Amino acid sequence: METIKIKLDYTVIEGNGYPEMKITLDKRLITNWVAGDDNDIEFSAGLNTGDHVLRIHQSNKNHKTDGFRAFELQKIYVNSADLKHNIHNFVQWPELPRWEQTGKQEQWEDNLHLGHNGYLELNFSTPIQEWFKKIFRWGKPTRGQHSSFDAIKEAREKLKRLC
Amino acid sequence: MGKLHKKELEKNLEMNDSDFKKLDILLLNVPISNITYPPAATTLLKGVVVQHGFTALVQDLNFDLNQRLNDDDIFTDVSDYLCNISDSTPYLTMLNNILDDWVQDIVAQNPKFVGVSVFTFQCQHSTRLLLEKLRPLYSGKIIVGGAGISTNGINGSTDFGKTLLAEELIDFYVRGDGETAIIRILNNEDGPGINNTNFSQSRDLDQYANPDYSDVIDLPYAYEEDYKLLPINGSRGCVRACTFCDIHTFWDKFTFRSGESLAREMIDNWTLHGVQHFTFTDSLINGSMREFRALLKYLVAWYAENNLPEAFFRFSGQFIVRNERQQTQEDYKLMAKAGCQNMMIGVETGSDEVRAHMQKKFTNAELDFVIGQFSENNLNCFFSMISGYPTETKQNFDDTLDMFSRYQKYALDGTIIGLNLGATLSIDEGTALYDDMKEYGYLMLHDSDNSSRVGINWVNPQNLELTLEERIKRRIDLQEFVMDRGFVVWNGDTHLKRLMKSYERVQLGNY
Repeated sequence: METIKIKLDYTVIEGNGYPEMKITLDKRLITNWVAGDDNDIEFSAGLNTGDHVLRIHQSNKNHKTDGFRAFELQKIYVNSADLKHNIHNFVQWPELPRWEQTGKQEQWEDNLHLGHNGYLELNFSTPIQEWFKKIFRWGKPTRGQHSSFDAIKEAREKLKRLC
Repeated sequence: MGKLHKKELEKNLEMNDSDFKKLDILLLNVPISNITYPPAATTLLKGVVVQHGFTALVQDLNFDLNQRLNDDDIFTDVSDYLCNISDSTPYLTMLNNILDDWVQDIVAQNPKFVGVSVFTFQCQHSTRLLLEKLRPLYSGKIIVGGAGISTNGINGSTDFGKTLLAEELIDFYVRGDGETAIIRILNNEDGPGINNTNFSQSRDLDQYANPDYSDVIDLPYAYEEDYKLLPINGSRGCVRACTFCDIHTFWDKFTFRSGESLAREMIDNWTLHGVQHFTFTDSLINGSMREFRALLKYLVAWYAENNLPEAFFRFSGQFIVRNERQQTQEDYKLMAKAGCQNMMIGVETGSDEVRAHMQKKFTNAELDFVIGQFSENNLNCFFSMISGYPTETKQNFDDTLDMFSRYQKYALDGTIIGLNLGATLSIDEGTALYDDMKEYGYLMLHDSDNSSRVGINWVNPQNLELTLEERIKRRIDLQEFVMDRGFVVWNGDTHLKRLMKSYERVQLGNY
């Protein structure tokens, strides 16, 4: 089990009230809140090793009365690290009002403005360090320049022996 | 004929005998050093030698060894032996055969001079092995140069060079600027820095020709990605005077090239070799903010003029932390546009107190600003660290661990792409810690003769908790701590092995 800390920075547009939001991780409710003027929310969750789905939902928006009420994700930090451009890996799944529906579920990539009910979805995996290695460019030592836990263990044993 | 440098040998085979004899100097790189890009010193010297009308050929024996020992375990074993980490290797016969091949090749080429670049003390063993075989078979003159001619830091006593000369394995050792000295030697002249330590530092680095990579440009170096990378040198010396470092005492003045000349060299290498990636090999890329900005602006303007994208070139270097007034947010944006990446920063410690004693001249708050700017502008960097500085308390060490906890986010997001944790503090000749030892109050334990009063075997009477064992323990703990948090440590295994070997020698009384 690995505890992941996530922080979201966002902006909102008020429309007959603020957006009513909730966060789910692997369909498990983590928190819900009314996204007012705070502009950020932070939460933690314990996750087993494997693939995960983070969803940021907006609900209870009445498209006839609530106008432009919207939530827009600006930044996401995982364990304090800014995901930077990887924020665009979120996919939006809007619940369109009846008069806008086309018969198929809309799926909008790279659209962080949640103006409808629905959710923004991010797929990721744990161990989180391994996932970060996939999404960011990490340094990779060349031949003869590596470092290992084995060498640490060996050095520690040698120190104990020689001391 | 041996297997090295097919291209050069084929080129030579096309020459007739009289052409063959025209080679004035064969410039050699010897193991062990990194092979992530072509050698800097020999190619730089070739440029200057050719500029003065001589002929030269560069051969990278370090690269050749790496190619021939394609089994990782064998390579590591031989490398440990050549770096004096181990006293023997089961692959000695194999190594001797390679050395014999090299000697045969050198003798066959019959240059008037052989110049050996002893990059660091890690190249001393292979230099000696090569020269012991070469000297009896080769009648030309042999020159050695490079930081490795001194065992204990660049500003050391030139002990290795002097020893080789005394043993008549060489004819000349060169200390200091090789560009000037090598031309004097080729002209049969003496001069400062030739078989003496009184070299005079060149004040005009823009006078020299660009390095000549033609002999090595097509070799498959261990480039990090699938692109060629070339070294570039922008300065000598340093603007800071850190207590543990000898650069500022060796080079009496910080001397630097103009930003425009550096940009032109990069553009020339793009034109000649199609190279877009560079690494600055000098002590600091932002020593002169005026010329650093000039370099960045020149490149950005050149990209625009040629309809090239921003960061068309990518270049790394060593970088000093400056406060926000000296290096502004705009400067970081400009760095990103010009293509800076992988800046090596001598952070050394997470303790303001220790860093102040080191004379590093920056605080954690200023470092926070710099790393924040790096992250914001998608620049990345590499930290160089020292654990076990003479004044370091347990609390100071914990401050370093705390810094890495705070900076874990920058490891995760690829801003800090690597750490060099070193092998604890070695007090070298020519550093303030060594020269002012009495003032600082450090007592070297092993001081039976002057030559051995350096290295890791010291104790600070004012900080008695910091025993050698404690320093080693902190070094090991630090590596484990940062690796647990996802930081990538470079060369950690070799550093730990070397440290433990040194400790073993201390314990046996033969350090």
